[in-house]
Amino acid sequence: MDINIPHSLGRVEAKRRIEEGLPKLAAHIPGGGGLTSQWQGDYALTMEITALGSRIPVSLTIEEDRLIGSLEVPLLMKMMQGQVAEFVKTSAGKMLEKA
Amino acid sequence: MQVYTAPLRDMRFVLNELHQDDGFGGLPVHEEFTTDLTDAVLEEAAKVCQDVLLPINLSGDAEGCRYENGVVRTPKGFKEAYDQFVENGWGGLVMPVEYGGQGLPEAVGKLVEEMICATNVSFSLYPGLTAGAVTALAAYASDELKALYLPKMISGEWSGTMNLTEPHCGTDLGMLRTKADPVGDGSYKVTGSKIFISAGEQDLTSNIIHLVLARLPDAPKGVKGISLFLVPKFLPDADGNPGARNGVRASGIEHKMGIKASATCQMQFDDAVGWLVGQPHRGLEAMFTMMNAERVGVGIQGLGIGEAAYQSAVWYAKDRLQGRSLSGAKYPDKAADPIIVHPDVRKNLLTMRAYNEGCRALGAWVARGLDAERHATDPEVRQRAEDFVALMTPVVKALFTDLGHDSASLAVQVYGGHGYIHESGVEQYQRDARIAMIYEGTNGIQALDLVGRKLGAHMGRLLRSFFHPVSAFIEENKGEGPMQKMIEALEKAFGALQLSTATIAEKGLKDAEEAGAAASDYLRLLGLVGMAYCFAKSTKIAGLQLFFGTPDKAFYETKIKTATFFFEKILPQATAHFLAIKAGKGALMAFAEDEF
Repeated sequence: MDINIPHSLGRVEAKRRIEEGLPKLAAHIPGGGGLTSQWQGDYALTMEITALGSRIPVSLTIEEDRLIGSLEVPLLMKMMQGQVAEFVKTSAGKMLEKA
Repeated sequence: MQVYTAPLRDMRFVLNELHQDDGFGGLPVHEEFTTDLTDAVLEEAAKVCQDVLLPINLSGDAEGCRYENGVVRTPKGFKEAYDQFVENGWGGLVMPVEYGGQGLPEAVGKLVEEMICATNVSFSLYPGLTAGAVTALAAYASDELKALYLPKMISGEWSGTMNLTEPHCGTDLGMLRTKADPVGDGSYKVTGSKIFISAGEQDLTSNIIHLVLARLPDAPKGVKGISLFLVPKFLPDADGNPGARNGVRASGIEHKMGIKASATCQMQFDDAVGWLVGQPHRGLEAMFTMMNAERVGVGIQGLGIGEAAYQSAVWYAKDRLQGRSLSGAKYPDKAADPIIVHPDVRKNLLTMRAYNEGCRALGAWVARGLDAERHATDPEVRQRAEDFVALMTPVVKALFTDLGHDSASLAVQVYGGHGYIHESGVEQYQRDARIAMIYEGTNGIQALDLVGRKLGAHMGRLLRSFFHPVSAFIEENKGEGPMQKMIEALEKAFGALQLSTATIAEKGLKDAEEAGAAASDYLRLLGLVGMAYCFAKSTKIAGLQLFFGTPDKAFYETKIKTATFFFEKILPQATAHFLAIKAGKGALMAFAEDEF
């Protein structure tokens, strides 16, 4: 499923805020879940959300005015892929908001 | 009071969420049936069942069917309900499109069947038998017979029956005596008596198409000499409409314990004109196509009644004021608390609820298998689905009907003395549920089918279609986390099932009575593990929904509570069944006949 999160921060500032926000986000994942992340280049990030034995890989690329990327939910979670995308969007939005 | 609102939310859960990873989904033939469309179908079915079938359930039981000079009258309101039912296309919901059916997935159809059975199981038998007959004819009849009979049967204008049992032979069909003599023009003259024929005669349809097991003159003895014949009540005329009366009639109806609005007939065939369906002497194979479809359907009857019994009991437990809560008055302003405050009443209610949700979840998986075995494009998936359906058919039939009857009995218990009175409505559930444990092969026969035919088939391949997903789920979810207690319990029960399988394989090969003695315990153990697997998966999905944020928090939280109840209060029964299997046949066979 594709993700598109607009912002007006420019690439560099957006990356800085995400770098700062990721540890906080990982610490605030609800019980039974986890988040790992790895930069794949200057502006490409891969993450893995884990929850109740399920793993959801997410890839994000930071562009000047938006984050674009995709996530892949396991078949068992097919019906909740919209919620997972919303979870990623909300979490990324919160990181981008914080200066 | 008979109370029923279709559990649509849970139905949507088992249909759209629970089994998405089973490999049976994504069938191109069902692409057009989107979630929105199937939701709409379920909602409409719920309305028909609640508004049309439920109001004539209790009255139909009180009035029953009447027999007068070969004519059978169904109770008041049944003809009108049937007309409305077929007019809106419910009879052809899952039937083949090429003959006028709507071709919906069985996964949807079985949920609709559950609603029909919950609101009026007697009524369900009329379209239910037709559906089974259509399945057999579609698979084995000549193109000519299919073209002439299937469209009218699928539309519900004509109905179908299955005629196996004779006064002297039920389970042992090898003793069957009805004969069929070739006339020379491709037709046969069928002569004999049949009993216990559901919908053998009724006033709902303009023609009745009987599928009859009979012997040809040169037939070998035993089950290998049985052929299947199509015998219509009225012979179709040149235009395909009901013409001359055929030599088949009802000679009476049975006066039964339950399903009183279903006409169970004694049938007499006197040189009745019929046509062969399938190959000579291979009628049992064709009839078993019908029978297998019916067996899953009978299981759904148990589930439907179980759900209706649960809802009716919940209504009463909230309404009936008696005594005070053990932890202090919950409603001090009232003369007494409602009985739902009492732990034992809650245990009864939750047992019913867990049975229903467990069976619905397991049934939905099997229904997806039914779709995949027919329509999957990948031969490997088709084979796996066929294996799974073959393995689980006796489990669905026996487990669901046993638990449906248990639920009905528990509902009577919740009502207390009032439950024993006809007007309460719940004693009817228990009477109606009882037959489902008997017909289409008794539950004992289902257990023998499971251990005798299914376990060893293809070197255990059928069993692997169930064992593999359960084992993979346990492996995937083992370790730390909120589900660990549940996964450990599932692993323990699954281990008991694996050990039991090995025990039966080892002892049963040397001594068939060992397998027979273990059969019903084994079937229940497999059913418990199947339900536990579904509840564990449900818990995982519910947990994920709550984790990622759902607008339907209440549903998922309650699902986890029901699953927890199942694991803590019902799954421990698995150990008892395991121990009984391990004990072997000794205690059963030690008795000489004269010691009974």
